[in-house]
Amino acid sequence: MLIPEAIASALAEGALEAVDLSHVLSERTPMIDLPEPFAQAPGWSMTTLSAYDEAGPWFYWNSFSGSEHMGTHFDAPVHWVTGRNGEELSTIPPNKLIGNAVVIDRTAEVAADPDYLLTTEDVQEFEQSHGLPTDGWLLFRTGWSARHDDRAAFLGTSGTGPHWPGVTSDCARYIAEETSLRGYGSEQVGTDAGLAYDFDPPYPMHHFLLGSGKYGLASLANLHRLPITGTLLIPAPLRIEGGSGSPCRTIALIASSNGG
Amino acid sequence: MTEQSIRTGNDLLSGLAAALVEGIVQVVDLTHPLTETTPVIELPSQFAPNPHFKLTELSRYDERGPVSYKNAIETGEHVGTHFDAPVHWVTGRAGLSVDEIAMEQLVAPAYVIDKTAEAEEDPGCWLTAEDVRLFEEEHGALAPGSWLLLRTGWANRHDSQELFLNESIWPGPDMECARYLAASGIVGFGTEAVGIDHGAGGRLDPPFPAHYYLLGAGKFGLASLANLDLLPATGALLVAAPLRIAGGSGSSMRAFAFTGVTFDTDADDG
Repeated sequence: MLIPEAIASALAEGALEAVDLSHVLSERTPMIDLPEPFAQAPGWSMTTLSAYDEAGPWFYWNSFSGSEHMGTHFDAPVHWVTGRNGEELSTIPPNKLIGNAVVIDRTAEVAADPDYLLTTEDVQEFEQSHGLPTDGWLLFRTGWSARHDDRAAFLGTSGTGPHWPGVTSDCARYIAEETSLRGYGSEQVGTDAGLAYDFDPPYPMHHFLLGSGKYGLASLANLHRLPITGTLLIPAPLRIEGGSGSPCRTIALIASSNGG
Repeated sequence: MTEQSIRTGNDLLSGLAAALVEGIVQVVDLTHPLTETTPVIELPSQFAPNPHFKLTELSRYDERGPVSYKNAIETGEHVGTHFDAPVHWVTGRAGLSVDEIAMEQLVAPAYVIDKTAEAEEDPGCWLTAEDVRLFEEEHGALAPGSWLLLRTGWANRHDSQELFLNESIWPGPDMECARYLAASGIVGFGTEAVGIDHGAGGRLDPPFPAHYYLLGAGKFGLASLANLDLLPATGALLVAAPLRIAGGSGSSMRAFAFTGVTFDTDADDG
């Protein structure tokens, strides 16, 4: 049996599961607020073209608008000035998107401190215990996606905001330049911490990761359903020509843990 | 689930990952690039038009965003390589919207029925129920939960709206075929043309029978697929990844296929 056939059978029989790591896209999808002088990105908006009515008696359909970087989304290297000579979205071959993923869990730490930052030592320690997949993904699990439907909580704006967890500048540099990972994903509105505009350099994960030709995934859901190792990650951004990123259906294939 | 099968699942996944790296398994991109010239279906003027894909630059390493490049997007749901959910059609109005579809249904095996030669000779050729039955005689009955994809070579016309729409002459299923597929166990039907119905489907009764019967039966549609010529007749695993639009009737999407065989010119046939 060919491997794709074996995967299909295992999915059908329940030995493998496909987990949806994507949030629903709607007008309630939280958008990042950028400090001056950044241009604000438009939020999700949908217009019904017809709904079984005189504009189309047999069909219902909509048009929609929004930003490339909204909801569960993908960052291509050209999104950042450091990656400006890198890949745009439509030229990334699919076999570079798909790869093994590992999950580093800081749910408890983040519950205690919403400004928690993952450090180089954290990643090195994880690497020693579990390894980092060559050409694969590191996913930062924090439990943050439970806040996705509450804009103020998701963007950490209730106090002196914006507060949400991320990585230190050195950790971003380490992941980008000293590992063989191809991408990094988080549950937050972006791959950098809420206060990262004030880091050196600002937005270090964007700066180093995209500058190294690697990829980012943000606003991921359901990371708590993934094992620490053993996920096959399938990020599926739209193939926007010249795109800097895209809302992204993201699929994880895992071995089933609960009855098939 | 036993420890044995968890091992099996993990072995399969690591096997797939390794096979991808070694090139034993390939990922085929079934998606056309999305641009402002991506062809869209044209409807009679009494109906609402389907808007083209549009990209608007928000910043490009300039005063609007010194360190970032980003765009706003605007499009119809059914533009470019795209997904039709059951609620897209009046017969499926009680069915699922695109955000409600279970992930397991979006990762499924695909059959590819090849009508390239017929479509070259007659761009208005029909996929018939007899074609599907003959395919099943050769490859076995369509397995429940699988996709049936119609390969025609039509993707080669995608760079031109005029050639792609071809004055509403393009291949697709006839009435009986649409009914046959709707009654089968497939999860959905996919095509290289701008929509899952034949170019003349609007003149049939009921109009657009593939939409009418398939979406009415809770099945899905895939349109404007690319690279179907790189897939085997059986044995590919299809990943259809529409955006998870709340209440959406469909979505522009990314679609991939995992295949286990090389189909370059040096490879053996079959």
